[in-house]
Order: sequence, then structure tokens, then C-alpha cells
Amino acid sequence: MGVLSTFEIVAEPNRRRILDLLRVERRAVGDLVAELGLAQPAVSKHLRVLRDAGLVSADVDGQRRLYRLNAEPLRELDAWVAPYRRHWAKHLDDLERHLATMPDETPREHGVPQRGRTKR
Amino acid sequence: MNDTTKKAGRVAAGSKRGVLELLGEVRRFERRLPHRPEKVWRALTDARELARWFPASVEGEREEGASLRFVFRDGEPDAEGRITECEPPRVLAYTMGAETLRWELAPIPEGTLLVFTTEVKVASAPANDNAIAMCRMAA
Repeated sequence: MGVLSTFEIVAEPNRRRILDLLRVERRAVGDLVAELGLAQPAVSKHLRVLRDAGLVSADVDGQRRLYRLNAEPLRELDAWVAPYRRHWAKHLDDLERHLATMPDETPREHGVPQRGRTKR
Repeated sequence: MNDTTKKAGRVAAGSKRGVLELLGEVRRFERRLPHRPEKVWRALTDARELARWFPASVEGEREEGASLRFVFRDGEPDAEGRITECEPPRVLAYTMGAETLRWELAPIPEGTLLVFTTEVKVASAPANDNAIAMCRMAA
């Protein structure tokens, strides 16, 4: 599909419920239908969207397919959301507190770090 | 303290999705610090000082054009970046993943006026298709 982003995909409440269920254990479509109270075609459609996005994959087990969660795209989502979670006001408060504990001059260096110095 | 948030008009106008309205947002923080700019610069650049307050450890040279690697303490995935401006002890700007951080230090009678701005780039394209798709939908 490629049109829907991971964001849009997990924005749909029933797809999130599917992910919640698959997070616990692998499930067949029939299990999901029973758990969600949705019609099978609706569940199959959601599963197709989730598979296309790489969020779930299916293992063949005899006659049935068992769906399981792939967490990797969610990790990418997490990294992408991180800047919005960042609490800069707090970090700046921490900076102010740390400055208060720092000596005005460094004893071993001459103040400003040198250009090109590697810090690891 | 004078912390503000300013949104880029194009994004705020174009987006209908809550969280994505944050894209292109410029957050600006102003702090008057009772310390000389050279000391504040040290807190912003020295790895040992950064370890005491910055959310990530910062690996790499401290010079314009240098590549950086950010290792976050809270378990957030590592990020890559690059120093875009480095004028000790006045201006330090670098990218950190999709964010652009800029630190401006101006001497004032009581020490340093620190102006910090942070912006999340709309056009940044992380090196994977899912992330690119996420950015596209916001454009």
C-alpha cells in the first residue's frame, strides 16, 4: 500500500486493539474476530493494512495463519515522536543547576574547549 | 525566563492532525545566567559537563561540519547530527535527528543571556520508508 503512514495506521482504534492483542500472543483471525466483536472482513482488512505496514506478520500453522506483532516500525514511530516529548524547559533548569556547581575556570584546561578536540 | 513557542505558518495552516501541528514549530527559551559566556560554552560543549544536564551524551568533534552521535539516557534510540555553526563562545548550532538546536550566548552585565531555539524539520527524511512516509503526510 505505502500510502498510509505508521502514524495513520495506529491512529485507528480497532487496529490498535489488534496490536494490543498480538502483543500478548499470536492469534488467528477467528480469535481476533471473537475478541473484537467485528465482522471477519473488517478484521481481515485491518490485518492486511497492518501487514503491508510491517506491523504484523503471519505464520502458517496447518490450515490457519497465526498473526504476530512486529515491533520494529513502532520503534521508528517512537524515535520520530521523541522530539515532541522532549522537555527542554526542564533540561534548561538542569543546565542552570549544573552551572551553579561548575567552577568558573577549569583547573586543567584553559577555559574554552579547543576546536577539533574529540570528546568521547 | 521567557520561553515561547512559535509555529511556522505554512505547517499550522496546512495540517489537520493534532500532533503533526508540532512540525515546524520553533520553541524559544531565554535564560539570564549569572556566569560568563566562556563557562556556559563549556557546559554546552564539554562531554563531562553535558553528561550532567543534557538528555544525551554527545560524541564527535566540536567544530563546524563535524558529525555527531547522540546516545540518549532515557533509552530513546540514538540519533545522528551535524554541527552547522560553531563560534566559541557565541553561537553553537547543530542537528540532532530531526531537530535543529541553536544556542546563542550574549554577554550581559550579570553574565550571559542564553537564547536557545529548537525546531523540528518538516523536510527531514530519516533513512527508512516508514519514517519518510510519516514525514510526507505532514508536508
